[in-house]
Amino acid sequence: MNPALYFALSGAGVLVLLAIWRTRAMNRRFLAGDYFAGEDHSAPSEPDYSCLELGSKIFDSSDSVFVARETSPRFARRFREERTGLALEWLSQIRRHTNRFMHLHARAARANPDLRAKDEIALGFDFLIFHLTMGMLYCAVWLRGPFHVAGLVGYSVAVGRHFKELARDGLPSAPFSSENVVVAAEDPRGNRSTVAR
Amino acid sequence: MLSSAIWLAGLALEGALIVRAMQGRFLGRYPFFYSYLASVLFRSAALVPIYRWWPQAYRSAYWYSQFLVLVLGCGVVWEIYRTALSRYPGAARMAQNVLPFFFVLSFSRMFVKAWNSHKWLPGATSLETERDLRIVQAVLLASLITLLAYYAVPMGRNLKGMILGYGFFLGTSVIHLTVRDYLGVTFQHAWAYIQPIAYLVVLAIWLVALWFYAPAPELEAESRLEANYQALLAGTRRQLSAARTSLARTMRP
Repeated sequence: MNPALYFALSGAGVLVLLAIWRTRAMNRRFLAGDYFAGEDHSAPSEPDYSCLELGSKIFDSSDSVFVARETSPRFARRFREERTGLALEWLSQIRRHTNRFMHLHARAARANPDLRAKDEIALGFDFLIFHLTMGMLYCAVWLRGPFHVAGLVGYSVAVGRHFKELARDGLPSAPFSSENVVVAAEDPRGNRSTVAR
Repeated sequence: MLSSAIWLAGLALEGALIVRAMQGRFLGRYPFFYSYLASVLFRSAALVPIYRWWPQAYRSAYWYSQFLVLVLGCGVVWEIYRTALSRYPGAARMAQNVLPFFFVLSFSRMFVKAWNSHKWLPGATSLETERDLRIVQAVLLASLITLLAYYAVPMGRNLKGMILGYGFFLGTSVIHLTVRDYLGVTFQHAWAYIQPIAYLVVLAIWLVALWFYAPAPELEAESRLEANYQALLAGTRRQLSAARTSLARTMRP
């Protein structure tokens, strides 16, 4: 690609950054009357786990299995759609929750002369990774629904665990087999059941 | 005719900005910014008689003064940094660590090009050199804006206008200098208008933002914030870890 294009893009990047910055600032000012006015400006307190704990119920497929067994396929599909919406809302809530305490952290840290750049960069990096993970999960849930995603994550964790064990035992030649891992199997109706072999 | 009108409008806006600051007695609040503006005003006024009576000297006068103004433009970025972060030592410390990194990163490219050039110039042409220097400034300003946004640093109308105006100026400068360098003389005619019109927009933004003195608002809640940084960091890490653990626990079978 022509280097001139990179330079032109870098100039356009500055303009886009400015536009985002101004839009965010305007939104904040617009929200200042209702949302931020009632905000507690104290340092981050102990986390509110109520919204976090809800997740395991939303991603659990047992009631979906029950609904699929007891009701019509149309009703079961509607149920899964509703659950997908709920899962997406839960993920958004987690993101908002995380953004809020990071915002409070930044507000508290900005005036603190003891701030350590290394720690802040590490924290920012963790936050970025968390956001990327959330983004990927959000897309996956939106595309495939919460039960499939939970199954996929479970499968990936099991595969990772399997490779870790292989590396530890020094058996690189052992062929990978789905027999060795916990498989998230699906029945023909799309319901997930975890089977340990 | 049109170019003369643009030139006169530019002089009028620059003059108005300086006069308003003198009337409002806030010229000394932003010394680097107004020094830059005064230098641009002086340059614009001085180049016309040179063009009229010593046309052979105009080219060198234009480029030498352009680089002087460009260096003074770094003062605007410095002014933004100084004004925005003076009350926030934590964010200032972060900027002191991050900005030199980005400066070295963007400047090293220019340094290598200058090292390889027999004339010790970073660009093959004056346009290219100016564009590269503008990119260094743009990188620094973009990093500073990101930091200010991350730490939600409160800013007054004056500072916001300075950032918006100078950011717009840098962004458009990099684009039109690149296009001019790439297309050559075929773009010269359009460039002769685009460049000063973009600068007029910048001056208009500054005039609106700096019509009167408007410093950053004082925040009453600031004193109640966490004093111990390590405790604050540990608390935030704990919360992030709780959110991550909860997410992992939810997904795992």
